[in-house]
Order: sequence, then C-alpha cells, then structure tokens
Amino acid sequence: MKPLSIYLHIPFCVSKCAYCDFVSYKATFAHSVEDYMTHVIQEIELYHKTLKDSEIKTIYFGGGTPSSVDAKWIGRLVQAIKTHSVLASDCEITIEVNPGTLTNDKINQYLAAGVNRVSMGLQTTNDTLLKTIGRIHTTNDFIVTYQALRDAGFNNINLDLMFGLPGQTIEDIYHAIDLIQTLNPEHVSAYGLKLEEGTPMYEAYNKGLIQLVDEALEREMYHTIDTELAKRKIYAYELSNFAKPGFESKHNLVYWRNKPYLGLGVSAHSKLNGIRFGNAMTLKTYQEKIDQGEKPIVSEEIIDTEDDCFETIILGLRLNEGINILDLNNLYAINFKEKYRDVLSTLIMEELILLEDETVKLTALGRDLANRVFLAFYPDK
Amino acid sequence: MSSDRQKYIRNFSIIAHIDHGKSTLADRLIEKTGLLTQREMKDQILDSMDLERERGITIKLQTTRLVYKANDGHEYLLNLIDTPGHVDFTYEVSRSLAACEGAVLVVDATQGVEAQTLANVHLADDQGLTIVPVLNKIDLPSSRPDEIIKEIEDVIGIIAEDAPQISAKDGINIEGVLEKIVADVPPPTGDEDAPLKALIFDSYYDSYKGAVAFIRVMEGSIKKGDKILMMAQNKKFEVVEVGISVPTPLAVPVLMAGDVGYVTASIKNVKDCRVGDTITSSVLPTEHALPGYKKATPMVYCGIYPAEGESYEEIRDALEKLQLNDAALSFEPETSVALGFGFRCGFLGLLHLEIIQQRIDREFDLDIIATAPSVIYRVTTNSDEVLMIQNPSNLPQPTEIKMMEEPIVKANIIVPNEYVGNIMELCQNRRGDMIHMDYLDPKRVVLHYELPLNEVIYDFFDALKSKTRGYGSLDYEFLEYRVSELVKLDVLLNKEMIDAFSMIVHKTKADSRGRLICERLREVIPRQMFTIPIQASIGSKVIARETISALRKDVLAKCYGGDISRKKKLLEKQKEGKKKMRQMGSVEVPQQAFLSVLKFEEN
Repeated sequence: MKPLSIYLHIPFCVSKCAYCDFVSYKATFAHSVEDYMTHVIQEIELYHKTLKDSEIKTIYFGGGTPSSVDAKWIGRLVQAIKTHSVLASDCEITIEVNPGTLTNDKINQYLAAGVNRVSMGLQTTNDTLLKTIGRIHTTNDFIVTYQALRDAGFNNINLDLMFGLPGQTIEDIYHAIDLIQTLNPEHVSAYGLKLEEGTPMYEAYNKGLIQLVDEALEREMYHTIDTELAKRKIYAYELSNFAKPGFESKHNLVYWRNKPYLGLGVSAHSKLNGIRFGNAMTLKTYQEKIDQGEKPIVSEEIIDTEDDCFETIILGLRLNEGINILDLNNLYAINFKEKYRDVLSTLIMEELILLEDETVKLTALGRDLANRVFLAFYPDK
Repeated sequence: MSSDRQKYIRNFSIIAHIDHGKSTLADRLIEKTGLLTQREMKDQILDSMDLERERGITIKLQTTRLVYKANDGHEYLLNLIDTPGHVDFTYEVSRSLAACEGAVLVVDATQGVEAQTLANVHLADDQGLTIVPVLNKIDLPSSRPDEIIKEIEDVIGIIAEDAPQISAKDGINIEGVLEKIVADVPPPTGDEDAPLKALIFDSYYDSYKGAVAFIRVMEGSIKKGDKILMMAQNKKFEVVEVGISVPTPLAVPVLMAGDVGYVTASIKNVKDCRVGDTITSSVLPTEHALPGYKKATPMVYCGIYPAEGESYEEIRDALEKLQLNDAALSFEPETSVALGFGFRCGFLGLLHLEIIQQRIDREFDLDIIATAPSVIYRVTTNSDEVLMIQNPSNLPQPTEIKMMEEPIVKANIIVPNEYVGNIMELCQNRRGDMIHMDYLDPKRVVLHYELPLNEVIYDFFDALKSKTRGYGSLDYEFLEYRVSELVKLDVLLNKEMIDAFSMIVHKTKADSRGRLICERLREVIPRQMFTIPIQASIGSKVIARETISALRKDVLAKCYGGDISRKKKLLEKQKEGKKKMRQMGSVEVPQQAFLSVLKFEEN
C-alpha cells in the first residue's frame, strides 16, 4: 500500500474576497452544488485503481469555502474515498471554514465524517480592514465560531493571518497576536498579501485606489509574527506556517516534501508517478469531461529526475527542517555537495543558507529572499 | 577618345538626398531597359539586405548592367553603380563615383535641395563627373518644378531647365532620364590595348569563389587565365572568371577599358582584395597605380563585447566578415575591466554603428554589449607626447595632460525657416558656432555650423528631426581638432568604477550628463541584496549620486500543490532575466543599462 494524500476542491463561497484568485462560485443554488458534488464523487470512482493500492494519509477540503455548502457532502465525499481505499488510522482530515458559515449542526456533521482538523481565516483583527479586503465576517464572528469548534471537541485548529494589507499597521499585527494568545490555536498560517492579476484588489491597486505597505514594514510584520508566535510556543516550520510541536499540517508537509498527492475537483492539481497534472479550470469543462467518462485533466507535465530533484530542493527549503543531503543523494543518485558546490558556496557567503552536518536550511535572511536561493538551484537547460 | 565600342557605354551613379527616390528610380531604369521581367522585380531590387529594406536606405553599393535601345537607334550598355544616400556613407559614395563618368542627381520636386543633395553634388564635382539633374515626384500635387529648377540652378550652379521631370513611383518619363544619360554622360575613354589598369571599387566574399572584386577597367582588358597583380598589396593571382552583374553575376569572356564588372581569382584572403587597389597584369604591368581612395576614417568609436554566454572568437569572426564588404568598419581587440575581452570598433557615424550592431545580431545571431560611443580626442601630455584617445579608459591622469583637443565638424543644416529658432537653440546647447546662414528660397534656410563631433554623435540627428518635425536635414564633414575643456566622467557602482560607462565630455556638460546617467542606471538596475550607491564622478569629485535600496523581500508566501507549476514558471522568468545580466564587480547590471546610458532624450 502506497501512502497518498487527497485534496478536494470545493469551489463555492458566499462571496469572493478581494485578493482571491482561486476558482470559486457563489453558492447560491443548491442544485449547482449537488451537481458538482455528484461529479466529484464520479471523479473519485475514475481513480479507483489508484485508490485501491493506496493508504490515505491525509484528506484536505479546500476552496472556495467548503463550509459554505451543505455539510452532508463532506461526509459523502469521505465515504466515496473509503469505498475505494483505506484510510490510515491517524488520517488527518482538514476542512477550511469561514466564520459566519458554520452552525453547530454543521460542526457535528464534520466530526461525524471524521474531520479532525479545521482551518479558519481570521486574516486580521481590524474589522475595517476585513471589510476592505472583502471578508464577510467580523473579529467577533471569528471568536464565536472558534469557540463553537472548541466546544464541539476540535483540538487541532489552524488560524489564517494576513499581513502587508493596504493600511495595515504593526499595531494591527500585535492585536492579532494578542487574540492568538487568548484563543491558543495549534497552528497559524501567516501570508503576506500578494496581488494576483484579475482580482478586485489588483484592479484597485492599478487605479491607484489602494497603496501597499512598503517592503520594510511588510518584513517587519513577518518578523514580528515569527518572534511573537515563538514566544507563545507556536514555532515556524515553513515560510508561512507555524505550529505547536506535533501539530504541523501533515497534508501540507506532503507538498513540501514533494510526496504524491491526488487533487480532485475543478482546478485541482495532482502529482502522481512523476507526472503533475491539473484539472479543468471551469465547472463546465470539468463536468463535461466527467460526463464523458474521462478524467477532467487539461494540463500535464512530466517531471524528469532533474526537475524532481529541483522541486524537492526548493520545496524542502521552505521548511525550517531544510533538506537532507544524504536523502537527496540516495533519491536522485547525485553527489549534492559536488553538483551544487559553487551554488552552495555563493549562498553561504551571501548568508542565505546554512550547511550543517548533512542538512541545508535557509537563514533568517534566506527566508526573506528565498526566491534568490531557489533560483540558484534552477537547472540550466 | 572613345573607341567605337566605348561610344555605346555609359557608366553612372544616382545621387540624392535620402528619400528623394533614388532606389525607386533605379528600379524603374532596370524595368524600362527590359533586363528583367515584372515578376522578377522585387520592390527595390538593388537594396539586397533586409536591414536596408526595413530602414528604406541603401547602405552597400551594388552595381548592375542595363541594355537600352536609345532613340538614335543604337543599343547602349548602361552601368548603374548604386550609392548609399546617408550622411554617414560619404566615403562609399566617392568610391562608386570613381568608377563613373556621370551622376544622375535626383531632387524631390516637392522638397528641393537638401543637405545631402549638396554634399553628394560636391563629391561628384570633385571627381569631375557630369551631373544630370532629374526632378522626381512630379505627380504629387505639392510639387513645384519651376521653383526647384531655379533652386538647383542658384544653389548648385548647374543648368536644370531641361532636367527630366519624372515620377519614379508611377514610372512617368523614365525614358527621359535614359535619353539624358545617353546624351549627356560622356562615354568612357581609355586605351583598350594598353597594359591592364582596373580600379577595385567594391568586394565581397563568396564561400565558393573566394573574394569577388567589382572593378572598373580604366585601360587594357582582363579575361580568364590572365595573371594579375594587386598593386598596393603586391599579390599575384590568376583570373578564374570575369563577368558582369545583371544584377546577378553573369560570366563574360572579357572586360575591356570602360567596362564595369567583377573578377574572381581564388583570392582566399579578403585583405588581398582591397577596395581602392589597382589591378594590373603581372606579366605586363602598368607603370602607375590609380589614385585609389582616401581610406575611410572612422569618426565614431565604441567597444563591442560578447554578452553573457557568447564567445569572443565568434564576435571576431562576425566583425571580420562584415568588414569584407564594409571597409569603413575598423576594429581592434581591447580589454575592459568590467566587460572582459572585446573590440574597439570604429564607424563612419552613429547610423553606421547602429547598423553594424544590428547586423551582428541578425546575421550572426550574437548578443553583444556595446559601450557608449565616443570620438577620438587628441591629447598632448606634459612631456609633449601626442596621444589619440579612442577609449576613455586610456586617458592619462589629468595632472599629466597639457592640452586636450576634440574633433570639430562643419555641418550644413537645411530647415524650413519656422524651425530656425529651434535649431539655433539645439546647436547652441551642443556647443555649436554658427558661421553663416543662407536662404535657399523664401521658406528654407541653410545653417552653416561648426560643431564638436562628440555632440553630433550624441543623438543630434534624432533631436534635429524631432525639432523640425522631420523636415530638417543634416550633412557634416570633419573640419579640424580644436582645444577644448574636456573631462573624463566616470561611473561608480557600489564604489567600484565601471570602465564601460566612462566617457569624455565637455566640462560644461559633465554635471547634467552625470545626473542623467545616474538616474537612468537607477531605473534599469534591479535591486540587489545590498544598497547600491550609483555615483558619477570627475576624478575624485562626485558630481551626481543616486541610490538603489537593498532588496528586502523576494519570497512567495504560498506554495501548495497547485502553486508549484506557477512558482516554477516565475523562477524560470527570473532565470531568463538573470542570464541577461552582467556581473560588474559586486553588482549585476542588465545589458539594457549600457544602451540606456548611450541613448539620449532631450527634454
């Protein structure tokens, strides 16, 4: 039995946030949700061979807002996977939720479906800012929902933070840290705002309606989050992720350790057997393909050994644990230190990486300038 | 005296200001003489290089033989030797003219005499050629033939009242031109039985035939099997083929005095087939070589270096090949601290420089870095040693310099009178001295200026065009060296001097130039891991300064399953960008920086 992780994309939201460029639709019509979910269940069946030989280590419901749809679907999707495969006894099942979309009934249905981890977006404790970025909840909504999850027995909760938002101050960051101290979540993801083309925020920026915080402040925010969370025993383990020991996201570690995963649903990506492939980006194409009995794949990239090695390096370097040279040497039949001798010596000189024993890690500076490090390893073709 | 054969030969060039219709007329002449069918006619058959077509100008001269049955019932052989029209190519024009007895002067009947019209007429006059004026673009409603005829007579001093009035574009009255050539251009002379004496006026390299020489036979004859001597090179060869250009090569049994054609002789080394040299018989040599030409003197220099990943050897190879049919290009190896091994190249002018750069890119597919152009300065040291300085890096220390001189050109600028103010202002900014001003007609003025060449090469032509809405025209020639207060302006990146950016400028220009360069560099150099001061200095005195702040952040927050492809594409793009960078000391500088320092936009 091979270990496998599964990502399920639920592309429905109550309304779209101003910075978001994920594939999502307004969850106004119950029948369109039903139509979509039936197709995802059919897609699961199309992978029955893969699933039969696998032990499912993690399942992740992402979106969109998975909590915006009828909770019965979560149970049915988990059930569909179980029909073809075996779930590991410690299988991590995460669902992304948004404050204001949850009820006690939904929470209980998630528990019944086996969901044992919840990820919820706080983003910021500044309600004016929340409105600007198109979030539909307030800080208070967040606290209420968080408490309901705790009361129901969820003991592994992630809280999403955003920094570098237009008009955000360092005080805002400290407020968020204070709330985190009170709520005491197991996991925190902190994302610097990145303007994505086609989002309302991108347009607003181009029209000069909003201004981004300058780079120095953005980094100060990041460093503050890093330091303050560590004081509260929530430690950075990836460039944007922090956790209490033992509560690192198993599902996301699969991506960063470059292990196989199967993405299901519209726009989901997979990496299996040395191939990365992507599903249709629109509901229409996605459903049409499945109706024809085909996997809804529209893009495919064969990852050769060199690419795979590169990906293992750059994804692994995102992690604070870094990359293990002996593992790489074994996996790709290379002599890492020899192959990257010049790269390593330059990066060490620039104080972007540390080479200790047989491990390579980013330094604090390296975490701010990670792309420069990744670029240095980019294969010459 | 012309022989009976020579009586029916006419050798001529067409001269004109740019865009007055020279190439179009050449096409019509070829068409009318019926050597080629309509189908074979490309748009402008003589402009063979892509680049020429694109820019609408003729750079390299070409030659073709036409057969014309004149109204007198005789068949004439007309050898048309094409000339380049641009101000930079005066030297090549004089080469073509030396092979001719006459020149057809094309004047645009809507525009009249322009700066290069005058310059070209002077060249033809110097060669003692008969000038046949032709009024072109007569079909345009704005044409003013009577006024232009008067202008030609007044300004140039030749009779133009019976000049053919034509439209080369519409093919109107092309016979008029042909008849005029037959009637007015004198037939060639030269003893067909004398020892061979032929002028090489152009050459190119053919990978099968070796060097091919275009020649005008002045005396005697040349045929296959003849033993020949290149008089200046003192090299002997045996003729493999003689022929004419129609305009593709056509072998003929013999070329005789008065003929224009080509010779091949298994000449492997192009240097042995020097343009301007005289070919004679090695068995029965002529006594005196033809005067040849003054060697083209490069006026503008710049360094050409291989960009990242390109080899020095390949660039040398490209330059050598270009030099074969562009004798005006000169180059010698040089080394730059910043750019490594490269070449210092000499050009006739800025356009010539630009064309060579583009040809290296297009014809050889090589990425190069070209440094800012400069002229040759004459420096006298305290020990009275005189140095000709092409490369700012070779300038001695200021304390060792007794005197510096810069080249001055005599420029004729023709502009409609409403722009005179603009141009006087431009010339004043460029340190020009006005010598005098003439009215060509009530609406147009010739301004005679003396200008430092280093001001002219610095985008003067573009500024002239933009300040006269395209109506201004310029011609210039070297006048003399004059004492000048010049300084070396250096650029420092992160406190290290970057020799490739150094330039010699006039003292009064140093501050503004320094500021401009610093600003440009700040815009084009991407932020790096450390703060980069950009400084312009004269000696140890900093005159301008900008700062590129350090890069604080270069990281993507999110990287999950679906993000990896995107992330890799992003890195790939960064990688491509990095390839185009040049490590200058500790700073990575994009190639674009070199061009942006060179380019000039006047506010």
